[in-house]
Amino acid sequence: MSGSSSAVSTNPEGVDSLDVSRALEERYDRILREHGPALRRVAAIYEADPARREDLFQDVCLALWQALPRFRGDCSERTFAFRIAHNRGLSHGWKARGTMIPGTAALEEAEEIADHRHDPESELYERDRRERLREAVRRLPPVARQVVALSLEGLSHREIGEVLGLTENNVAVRLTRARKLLRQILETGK
Amino acid sequence: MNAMDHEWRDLMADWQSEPEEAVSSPLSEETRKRIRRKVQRHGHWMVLLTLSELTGCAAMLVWIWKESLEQPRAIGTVGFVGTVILIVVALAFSFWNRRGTWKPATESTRTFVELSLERQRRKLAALRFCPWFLALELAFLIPWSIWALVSQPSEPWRWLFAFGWMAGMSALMLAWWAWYKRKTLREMAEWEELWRGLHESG
Repeated sequence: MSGSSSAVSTNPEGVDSLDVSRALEERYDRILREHGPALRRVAAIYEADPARREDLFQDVCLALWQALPRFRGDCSERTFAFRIAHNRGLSHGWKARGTMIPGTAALEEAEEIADHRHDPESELYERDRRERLREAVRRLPPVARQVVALSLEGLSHREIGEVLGLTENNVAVRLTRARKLLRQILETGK
Repeated sequence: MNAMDHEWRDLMADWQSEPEEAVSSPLSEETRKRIRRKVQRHGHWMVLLTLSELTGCAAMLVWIWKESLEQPRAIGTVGFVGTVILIVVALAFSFWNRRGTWKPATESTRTFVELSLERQRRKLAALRFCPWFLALELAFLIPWSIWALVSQPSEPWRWLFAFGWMAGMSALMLAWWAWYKRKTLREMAEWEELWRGLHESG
């Protein structure tokens, strides 16, 4: 990253670049600590296969790391991280389209988390509900998928608008439509 | 609070409930190093790409220069000057066609999609340029090769080699061109679909 390449220089304000680099590292760590789970969920709406989803998450981290020195605080860190994650997800979506079998991925994921269960029955039930919701969100058209995923993360209309480049009113209308569509998919499976 | 809101809150709770072990693991040191290396590589990639283009062109010029010295003076000079013009045209187009597309990836999705669409348009511009450039190359190379071959006694294999090479390279370039155009148009249609989705009236 840019900070590491100029680790021995001093900028015009007299702040040692090593400090800048360290501050960026800490900020990056904090963003991942606070928003990492949400960023993983973003990856999950673009990629159902667990292994490729992990790759996508790593790509998101990489993009976040690259973009962080340019972040000037014109929006919240959460909005900033979501922008990057969704943009990476869109690019990934075109490249990896049509290469996965949903049933296989769901099974792999079930095996992946099997060891973490304390109460297998209730956790399996919760997991099924969660996976059903994820699958329904994945089946939405791209823009509706983004609006729904961001709203499910608890972002306000204004924040969603900042991520996607839409007005608040536009977000509200799209979200209403997308929710109806999501409900329909959850109820009918289509 | 209406039923719709309750239902949405339930969905939000489902969405955000994840087993901690599965989601909260920070990046390992090894992963961090890998990312750092990738970032450094990415940072150098564009510089390397540009440098390799320039180096490749310079190497080609040196080779053409040496070859032209072995030809009669007029043929050598025309060959060298023609190659320089072709290289300058190709490089100028290449740099011009990349203008304004190296923006940071931190914009909103709308601007990201627009930038991606612009990149696809530039690829199409490059693809439109390719056949014209190939035609320009052949328009120069064919008469020049004939001139060079007839100006001195040449065995048949020299003719075969010169024109076989030109035909082979042209066929390869056209095959790549057809494949890349199909790929670019397909990707562009997908980005356009997304762009329409973002721009449709609320």
